[in-house]
Amino acid sequence: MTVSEEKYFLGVDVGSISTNLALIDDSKELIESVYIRTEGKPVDSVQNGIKILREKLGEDLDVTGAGATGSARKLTGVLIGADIVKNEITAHALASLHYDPDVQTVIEIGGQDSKIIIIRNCIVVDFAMNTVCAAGTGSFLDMQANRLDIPIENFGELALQSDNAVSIAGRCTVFAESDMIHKQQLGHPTHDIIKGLCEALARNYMSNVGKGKEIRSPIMFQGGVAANIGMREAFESFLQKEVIVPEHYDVMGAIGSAILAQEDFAKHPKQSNFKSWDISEMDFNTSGFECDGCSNICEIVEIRRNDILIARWGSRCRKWDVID
Amino acid sequence: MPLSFPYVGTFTYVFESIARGMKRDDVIVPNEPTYRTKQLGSQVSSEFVCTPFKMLLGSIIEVLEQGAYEIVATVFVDYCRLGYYSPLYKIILEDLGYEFDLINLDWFDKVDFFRSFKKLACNVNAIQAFQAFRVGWIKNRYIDLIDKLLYSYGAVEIEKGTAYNVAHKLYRTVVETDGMKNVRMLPEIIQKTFDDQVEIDKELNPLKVGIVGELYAVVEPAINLDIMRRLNDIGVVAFTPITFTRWIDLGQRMNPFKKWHYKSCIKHAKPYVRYPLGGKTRESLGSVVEFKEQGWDGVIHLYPFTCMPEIISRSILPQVSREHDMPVLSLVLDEHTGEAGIQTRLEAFVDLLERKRNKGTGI
Repeated sequence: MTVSEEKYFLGVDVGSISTNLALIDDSKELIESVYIRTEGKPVDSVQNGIKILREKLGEDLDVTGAGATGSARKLTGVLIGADIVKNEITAHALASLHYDPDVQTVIEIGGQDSKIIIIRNCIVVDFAMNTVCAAGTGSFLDMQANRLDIPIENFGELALQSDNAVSIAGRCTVFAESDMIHKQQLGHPTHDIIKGLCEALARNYMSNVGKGKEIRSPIMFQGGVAANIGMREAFESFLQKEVIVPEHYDVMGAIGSAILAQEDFAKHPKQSNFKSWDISEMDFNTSGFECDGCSNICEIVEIRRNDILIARWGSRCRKWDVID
Repeated sequence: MPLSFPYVGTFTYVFESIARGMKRDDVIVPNEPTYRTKQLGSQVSSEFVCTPFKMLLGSIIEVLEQGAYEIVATVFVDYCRLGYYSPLYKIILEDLGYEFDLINLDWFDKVDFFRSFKKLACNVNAIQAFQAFRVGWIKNRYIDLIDKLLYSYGAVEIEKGTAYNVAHKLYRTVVETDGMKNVRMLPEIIQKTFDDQVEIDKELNPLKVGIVGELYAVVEPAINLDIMRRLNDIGVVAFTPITFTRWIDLGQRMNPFKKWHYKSCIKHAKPYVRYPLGGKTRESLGSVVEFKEQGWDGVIHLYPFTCMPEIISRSILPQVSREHDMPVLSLVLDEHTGEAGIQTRLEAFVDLLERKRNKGTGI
């Protein structure tokens, strides 16, 4: 590793659909980021992400602190040796505040969940996540793009071409899909249907996640779905307010996580637990078994690095939670 | 005939005590609800009935499998679907072909209540039965005390898990203590055991969170994914005012000077809801104000998916929260075991509370 004066902080956000990595310097400026798909294999994607980031940087920078976030944060934390493992809501809020200290509302739509974060005077005062329903999240849009055979990247632009959105039920994805098929069989053009879908999802988001929340400007829209200009338009027309999509909308979670690591280091400077850039070369192995100690039948997961057991979790009674 | 009852959080210990006091030595103590309990219950319930219904039914099926014949059930006075549980259980279980006798303790029908009660207390006379019940409600106070201490000491203990182990030993002590004189000694013993055996970090000033919502969702760790312990694990004191004391503790109920948390909550809820809307709607709303006045940091509101009364509170809570500047987190619970989602929300909520307390001074 090169020893330099400059301090670098790594943030890793592993979500259901995407894995993002971000490297920031001491002044919280983004140096480099990586956005790849998780494809159901978080361990591989973390290793892959680290490898790509290393190649992009071209040299092995000294990592002073590392943070992990996202739904696989616990696993990621163990894999990379994170100094701070925090939830994605805090991470997203911090990243938004870094890019716009005045931000009052953050809309974040990811693969499996959507959140709203209400910020007043630089403090998170309220937040909500979608509860029992995943309608209106990235994976549904992904699925529909697939079904209509449109690359997800072009989804938003297509929606913008329409000026006559068809009405689609946004409450439930099953109903939304049958509505879409119905409209398509009646002969409505695809872009009208897509625009209708975007509007339905924005409507559903506001009545489900944003229920009872006071939405004030500036509003920031981030997460993978923010790439979709159609969704942004839909939010703007629903709220009658301007919606800002930050430059690094897709890696905001990772940036937030890196900022957390940086803040943590600034408060308590210590040696980082970060493994090294060789994580991609290490051999990680996860295996699982069912505990038959009681009728809960907990599924226990074991994680091994180079055949050494490094973590184990999953039991309700904590019988198996032993190793760091 | 073997007697049993469905498992309801730590109230199970109280029930066990009462049955023991009535000299029923054929009591089958239900096991803690597990994944299987949920499965058993939901297989035979209607799809959109609330989760407590399914889990209690699952628990009854489990004790029936273990050979129980007399099952005690009760009708709740909270005006929600819980009130129809036992008649429905009876029909469902009869259809399934189980042989049992469902003893329904329905306080509204006094004659029937005492007739059922007599059936339970077949081994003792009326005075002894009443005495057993009285010991039961007094023990309930101490079980509540253990719960309270467990979830406060648990937040600041140095070695994680000590408070939990101490509390579980104490629950047994409470159940097994006989004689009113010994029972009266219990609170001292409980406090002392916690003080002696749980090493705590006195420097800490933990966040304090009140838990309110639907009864079963609050008292049963199996449905709320052990939320109080999760909070303790991230260093937060948790407390719930929702226990069975208000119903079974006739001693405190007859005391005109007793200050009931729920009564003052109902007063606080008046500007929002003036009539009983069933369940704990008014209490959930009012406790936001109540906890705020007592200097707590936040409130977590729990309710099972498709719980009708709490859906009302859910939609009014943001307003109460805003007007009283008190953070509230509403969580819907169902059979799912996706712990990650709950954990994320809890952690984010705790971060929020922490930043609110420190007014944005760093993490």
